[in-house]
Amino acid sequence: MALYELFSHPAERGYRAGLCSKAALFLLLAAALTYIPPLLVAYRSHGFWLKRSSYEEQPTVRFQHQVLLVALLGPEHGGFLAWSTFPAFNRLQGDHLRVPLVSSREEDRNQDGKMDMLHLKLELPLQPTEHVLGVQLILTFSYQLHRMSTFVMQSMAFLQSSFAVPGSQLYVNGDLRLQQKQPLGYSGLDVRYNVSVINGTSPFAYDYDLTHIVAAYQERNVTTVLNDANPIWLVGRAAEAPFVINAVIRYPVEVISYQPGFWEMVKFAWVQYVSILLIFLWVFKRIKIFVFQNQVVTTIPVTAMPPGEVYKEHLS
Amino acid sequence: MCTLQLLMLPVFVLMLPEGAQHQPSFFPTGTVPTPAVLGPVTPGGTPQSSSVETATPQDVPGIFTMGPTPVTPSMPGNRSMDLFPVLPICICDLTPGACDLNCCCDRDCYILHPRTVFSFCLPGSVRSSSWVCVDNSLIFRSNSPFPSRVFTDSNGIRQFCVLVNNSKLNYSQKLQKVNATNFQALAVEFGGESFPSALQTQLPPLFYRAGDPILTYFPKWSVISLLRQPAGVGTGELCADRNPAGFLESKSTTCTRFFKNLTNSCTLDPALDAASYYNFTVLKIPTGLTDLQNMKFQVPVTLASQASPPLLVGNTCQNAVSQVIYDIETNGTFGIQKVSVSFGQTNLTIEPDVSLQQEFIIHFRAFQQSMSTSLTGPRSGNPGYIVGKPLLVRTGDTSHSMTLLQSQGYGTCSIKRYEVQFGVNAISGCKFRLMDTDCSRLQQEICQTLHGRPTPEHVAIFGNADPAQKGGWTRILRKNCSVSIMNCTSCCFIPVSLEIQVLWAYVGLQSNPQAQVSGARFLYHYKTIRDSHQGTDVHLTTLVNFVDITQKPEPPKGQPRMDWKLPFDFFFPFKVAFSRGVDSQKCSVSPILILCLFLLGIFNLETT
Repeated sequence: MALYELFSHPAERGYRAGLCSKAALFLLLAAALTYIPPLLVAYRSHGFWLKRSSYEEQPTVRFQHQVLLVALLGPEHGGFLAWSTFPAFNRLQGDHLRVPLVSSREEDRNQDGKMDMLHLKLELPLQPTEHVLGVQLILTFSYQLHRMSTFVMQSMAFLQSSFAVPGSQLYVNGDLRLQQKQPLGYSGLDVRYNVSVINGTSPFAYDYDLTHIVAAYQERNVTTVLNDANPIWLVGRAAEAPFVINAVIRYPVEVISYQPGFWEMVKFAWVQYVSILLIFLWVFKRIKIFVFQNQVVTTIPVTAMPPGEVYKEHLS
Repeated sequence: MCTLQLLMLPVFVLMLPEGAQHQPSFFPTGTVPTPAVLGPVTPGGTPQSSSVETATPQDVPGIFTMGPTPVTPSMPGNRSMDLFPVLPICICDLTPGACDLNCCCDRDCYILHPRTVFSFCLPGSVRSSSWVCVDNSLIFRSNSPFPSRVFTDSNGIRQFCVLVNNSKLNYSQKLQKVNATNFQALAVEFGGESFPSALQTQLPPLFYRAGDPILTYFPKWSVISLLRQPAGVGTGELCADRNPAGFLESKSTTCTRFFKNLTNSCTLDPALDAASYYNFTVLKIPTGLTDLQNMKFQVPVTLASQASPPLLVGNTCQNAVSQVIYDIETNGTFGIQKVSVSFGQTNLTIEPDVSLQQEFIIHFRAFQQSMSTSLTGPRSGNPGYIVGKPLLVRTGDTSHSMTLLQSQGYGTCSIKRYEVQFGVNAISGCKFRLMDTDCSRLQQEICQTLHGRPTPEHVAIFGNADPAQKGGWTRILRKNCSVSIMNCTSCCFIPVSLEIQVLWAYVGLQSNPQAQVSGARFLYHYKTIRDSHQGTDVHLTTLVNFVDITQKPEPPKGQPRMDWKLPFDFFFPFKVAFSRGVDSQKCSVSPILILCLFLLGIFNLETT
């Protein structure tokens, strides 16, 4: 009957020497060379500390029902028409004020409790001789993220569109995208930008100046932008028909970059370090076995093996 | 295939000298069998004169490509003809009776060796062959079954070339017989997308189906046309007159017409003339096309209201058509039974550029459906409200829909009102001129402007509420619109804004929820004015807000709530793998298999 090796196990062998001997010094050197170089390799090959990471989340966006509209008219009538949901702004406009009919609806398509899109329709009544050549529109939103840090901000969608031909309708269908200049935190509450985009309580014209609103908004590190490269401008308005702005603004899932926390950073560093360390451990183990088996440094071998297998030593 | 040949070539080159050295006797001339003297040897083992070497591998599509080679003038003609034989088909001979430049197969050139005159031969004018070359010094003897030849390149290095049997060059398509029977089949089998051919005429169907265009017939001109419902097209709202109306598709369209010269257009433009919208007959069924004289298949368009032709009186164009309403009675597959038309007409002032917005409404009714039932108005949902449908309100016993005020071009309040749509928040406003001096009358007037006439009292709970059944309606919570204040005699307290708040919720099964209105209230905002403020404007605002008060039930077990931060994705890869497995049973095996192998690997690692 043929015999097979069904089981095997390595046997331990000790080497004895003094603490101030060459062997001890060698072991100390070997340990230093085993554990420190992997760290240097991992660090110098970049990416040792995970400084930025990202996650996906659909933001909780709600339209704040704040609208600021400026419609630029053709040259013969001159000037513009304006309206907003801020009484102070409307008071400032005087004759330029024209109240539109605004209807809006937010829709939760997948019934997950988060709104997915906003339908907004704005009908600006015009006199037969008035022609709209351009539109500036600000809509404000409350924007919240929950998954990592709780991030709350009030943001806006700014739409500006103009055309050489007087329009009858402006159709916009775009995404409200998040723009980050810096990563968000990994935990905690972030309400840095939970301030209103337009100071609606202010009676001063300066606070409703578009350049000032946009300049202050762009100072932020985290903003939202309306992403529609090509709003469609429909022409051919009848004398008594209003100018219509038809907007569909979607709230898509965003990839948000954040600064990982301490343990996440350590975890990724540890993974890199240990994987390189394993190679060094294996190499230095071989070196140490060679050194001690061949008595390169003087030691006294202590065998823990059963007698009878000692003869194998000569082979190495 | 080609790469295989290339790969095999070094093998061939390396093997050959060795093998050749062992068989020197095959060499008939008896020269010393060293690779260095292999030059004059040509394939097939036949010794060849050096004249063959004059061929240049320049136009040889082999792996070795070399620069232009001067042709040795001592080349005998017949050999050269052998290399570049005149092809049976000369594709570059485009001018008959004249020599085409660089066309080496053109018989009109009368050049024995075209390469001496032409700088190169056009592709296709010489027989294409696929040569693979190596340095001649490497070759001792060739036992290749393919024809081979020795060329000299520009540097005087002799190259040993083998003509590879490239099946691609000899490939030709099997010709398919085309006849009348299989023409269409072949065109369909091999054809892809192509330009569409012109509209195909086909037999008229037996009866109209939903969405089919409706055929009309002008007896005056014996012209067949389609019932038109002009609509805005393209990037503008300009009327596209040829837009057909679809059978059974009740809808309304609006579009704009511009008139450069209304003085002429007023009486001449058919779009402004009511007669052009009914001076034809409608075909009952499309098969009426076959017998146009038979009035049995034709339905005349009857006038529901009087319409007068446009008339130019002084500076106005009277009776211009601004609205066209067709009311069509249908009876299943028996087609159209009755068509009636009514018009809305307006007067236009003559100006250089005049625009007119026209509305076209086509309404289909089932045969003998009583007019009264269609007058009750459509439901806003059955039973639950549908988003975007009008919010139903009731005053006394009549039901209508909630409206908001609307401003017209000059910013003043319009008679036209905006119909509140369920679930759509809206705001609107207008300028109201204070004319009345009496405070209570002023208050009443403003109140009516704010909530329209008649004042809504109840709101329908469901979209299919019946005005006769009181249980389906809930009272609108409100305070009195007109309020008087005691301590001021010369001032008037007028409402300037009306806020309509509607609380609604989904009820019923979560899979099929129905929206119901739970309650509504009117909120007024007031402003004090002095009596002396007559003739000034106040801004009136109405807005409607819909608030969803649905309390969602606890999610079923295993489904996380939105605001939870618990580690629900702990088993994420397994979840994804197994949820995919539900879709296709085949795929579910692989993750399990991988998992098993993975575990086995770990198990093995630990034991060794």
